[in-house]
Amino acid sequence: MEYVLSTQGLSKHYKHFKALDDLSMHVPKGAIYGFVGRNGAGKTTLIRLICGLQQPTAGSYTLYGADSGSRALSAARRRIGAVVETPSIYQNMSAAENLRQQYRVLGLPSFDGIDALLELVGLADTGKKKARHFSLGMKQRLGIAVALAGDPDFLVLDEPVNGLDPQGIIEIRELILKLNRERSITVLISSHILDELSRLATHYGFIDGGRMVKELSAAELEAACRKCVRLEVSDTKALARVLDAMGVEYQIHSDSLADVFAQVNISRLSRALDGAGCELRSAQERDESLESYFVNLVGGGSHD
Amino acid sequence: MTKLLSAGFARVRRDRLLWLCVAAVLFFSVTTMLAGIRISRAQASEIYYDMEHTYFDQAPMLGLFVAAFTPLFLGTEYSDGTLRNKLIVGHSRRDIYLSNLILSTFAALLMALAGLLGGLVGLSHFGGFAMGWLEYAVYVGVFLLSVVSLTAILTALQMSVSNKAASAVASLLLWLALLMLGSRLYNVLCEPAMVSEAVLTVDGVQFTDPHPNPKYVSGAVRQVYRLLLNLLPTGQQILISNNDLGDIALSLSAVDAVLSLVVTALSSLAGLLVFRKKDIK
Repeated sequence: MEYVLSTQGLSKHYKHFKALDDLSMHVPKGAIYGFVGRNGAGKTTLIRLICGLQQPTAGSYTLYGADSGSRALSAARRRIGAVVETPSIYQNMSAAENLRQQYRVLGLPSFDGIDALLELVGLADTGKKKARHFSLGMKQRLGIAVALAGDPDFLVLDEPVNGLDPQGIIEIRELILKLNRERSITVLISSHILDELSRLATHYGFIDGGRMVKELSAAELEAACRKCVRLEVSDTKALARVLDAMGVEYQIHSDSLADVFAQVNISRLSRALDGAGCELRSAQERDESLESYFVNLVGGGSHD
Repeated sequence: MTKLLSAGFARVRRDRLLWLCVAAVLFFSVTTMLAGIRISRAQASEIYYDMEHTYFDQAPMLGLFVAAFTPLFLGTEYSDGTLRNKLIVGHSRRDIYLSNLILSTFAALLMALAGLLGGLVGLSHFGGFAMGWLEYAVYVGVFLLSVVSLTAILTALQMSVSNKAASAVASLLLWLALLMLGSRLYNVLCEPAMVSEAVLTVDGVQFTDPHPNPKYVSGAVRQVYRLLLNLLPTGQQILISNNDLGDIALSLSAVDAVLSLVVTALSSLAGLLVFRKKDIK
């Protein structure tokens, strides 16, 4: 798999506090990578590091094949756009002026794409209105437009829906999906609003205490969260034979554990297993959401 | 770097605060010169006012405007977060620092030129500089270089402090401290070596025989004070405002110019080293 971004043992310490601790992550090309963690888990710190705003204490990262210590990194950075925490926009400039400013920073030869960009983020009608008079959602969209100047291949968004109203959240979500589908832009999006992320992400990375707890694809997560009955039996080989005979979908986890993805009649199953010389020890219904998956993964402890 | 300068100059052009500062400096220099003309015309005036006496009066005060403008202009990059946009797309910290130094220096020189141009209204009354145009050019050159070195110090401070309000206050306080230090050094160096006191007697006021002035500093200490005064941009500006470059010969003006460049280089190097290590939020 081709990775846009991968980190190897990345650490960032602020005096004695470990904001990131030996973190490794992999963002596949074309993905919408949901970076999940509670407040203070290290999401923003990681984003600051990969955007060059801060230097790692230890470890390294690779961006489009360019190592963090190499000269090629500067060219690789040219392929990314980011909104880190708050949108980076001049408050005393209009939306178009902000984009013109970013075009100059990028050294783009003309301002031709600005109207299309404003159209894309829904700010075409803002005219000479200064950014300081924009709503939070408009500022967020302008921040994304600035990040999109220069046609990046990789968009990094740090908590992009924080503080937005429901309509604003929908607009940002649709914009991200559009960018990913129509422009094939890889997106790294950090959030602790899990329900929102679950509507977008194709891959997930779960971070807690500065460490990557788990990385998996949306399909793997869906499978992990799928409604099922977890059975504990004395012999899963015998169980497999019985379930095959019943035509039921299942997944074996160990010699004694298996998940069955159907509503089974426990009495009938127990009789069939008995006949196959297998003992049914327990049956537990499981129906996990992304939220409960996350809580199970990182624990339900209080915030630091 | 060219891209950063292009973006920066676009901001400079439309920055209202800069044009307000330029207008204020122009107004200040014109009114200072007009006041000088009025005094020189006054019949009762016992002080002889020449063009340069009034013209360079405003030199130390320019720092006030530079210290107000630099942190507010550059600090916007921190407060609005737009500094991040430059780093994210791969501009090096060195280029960002140097482009900001160039921009703030350009703005400061613009203000200085406004002050120098405004003072020329005195030509209509005085007719020209008693010091001659060559010496005038040397004074202006040293003055502009002192402005560059002051801007370099303020830029180094600003780029090291993320908080716009804090850096604005710190800039003004730093400028004030440098001005007071320069003024103190100049006053100490102006003490005469020998003094005599006036004594009131029945025959009227009489002066004692001259004796060594205890406040006079000599030897190595005097050399250190002199070097410090010439090293400080505010010190150079105080010398200029007192028309005190000329009596120490033009060769020393060259030393002042070199010292300004040294201060500019050292403060920029220090600022760059801090900025390169700085965690941006």
